[in-house]
Amino acid sequence: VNALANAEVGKFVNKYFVSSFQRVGSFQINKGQKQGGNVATYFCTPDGRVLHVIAGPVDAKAMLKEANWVIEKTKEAIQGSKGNAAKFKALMRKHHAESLESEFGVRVTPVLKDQIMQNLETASAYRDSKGRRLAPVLPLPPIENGKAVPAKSAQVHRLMAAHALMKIEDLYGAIFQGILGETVTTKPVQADTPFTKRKSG
Amino acid sequence: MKHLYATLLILTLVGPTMKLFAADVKTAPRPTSSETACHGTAIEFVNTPVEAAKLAGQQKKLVLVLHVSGYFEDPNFT
Repeated sequence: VNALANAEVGKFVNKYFVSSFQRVGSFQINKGQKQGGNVATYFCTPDGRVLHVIAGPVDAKAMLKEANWVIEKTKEAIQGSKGNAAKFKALMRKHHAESLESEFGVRVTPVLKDQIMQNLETASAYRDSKGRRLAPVLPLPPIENGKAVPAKSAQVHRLMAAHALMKIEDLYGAIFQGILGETVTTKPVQADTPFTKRKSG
Repeated sequence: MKHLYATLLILTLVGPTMKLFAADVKTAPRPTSSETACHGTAIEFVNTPVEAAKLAGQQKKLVLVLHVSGYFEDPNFT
C-alpha cells in the first residue's frame, strides 16, 4: 500500500487513469500465519482489455516505472497501429516481448494473433476450493534462450507477450494464481473498500 | 515528462468491430463521479470497474483496476 499512498504515484495515476478495485479472494490467519492475501494492478483500456499488470505489492518507484511504461507503450502502439485494433494488439504484445528481453534477457516470440480460446467447460482452469472453474489456464510462449524467469514482472511480460488485450476476467486467474501463487477463491467481486482497516477519505 | 505525454492518445475498443478511437487526454477533466474515495491512499477510486470504464471513456483516460485479497495496511498481510 506504500506505493498507493505515495503523492507522486497518486498524481500520475489520477492524471492518466480512472481507478477502481475488486476483491478476488480472501485470506485467513491460521496459527499466526497468513494464508493468502495479495494484490494485482491491472492497466486496462476503457472496455476492460488488459494492457499491463503489476503482480504483487511494489514500492512507489516500481509503480511509477510500470505506469509510465503503460502510457509510453500505449502511445507508441496507437501511433503505430493507425486505427487498426489487430495491429494495436500485436504491437502491445511485441512491446512486452521486447521488455522481457531487454530487462531480463529472456527471449520469447510474441503471439500476434489470438488462439482459439476454449471455454471454461473444456479448458484447463483455475478452480476454487470446491472445484468450480473460475478462469482459464493460459498457455505461455516458450522461452527460446533457456533463461529462467524468476521475477514476477518478467513473468507478467512473458504472459502478456501472448495475452495482452485480453479481457480482465480471462486473465486474472493466470495472474493471481499462476504468477502470485494465491488461490483464486471467487470471481472478482465488488467491495466497499480495498483497505479494510483504513478510514475512507 | 509532461511534454512526453501531452499528446497521449487513448484507445477504446468498441463492440465486435473493435473500432479504434483516439483522443488527446491532456485536456481531460478529472472524473466527475461523486463517489470517489481515496481509502487512505493517494489514488482516487470510484466504486466499480464498470463506473471506472464509463468515466475513462468519457474522460479519455485508461482504467486501473486493483484486485485485492488482503490487509494492505499491514505489509505483513499482503
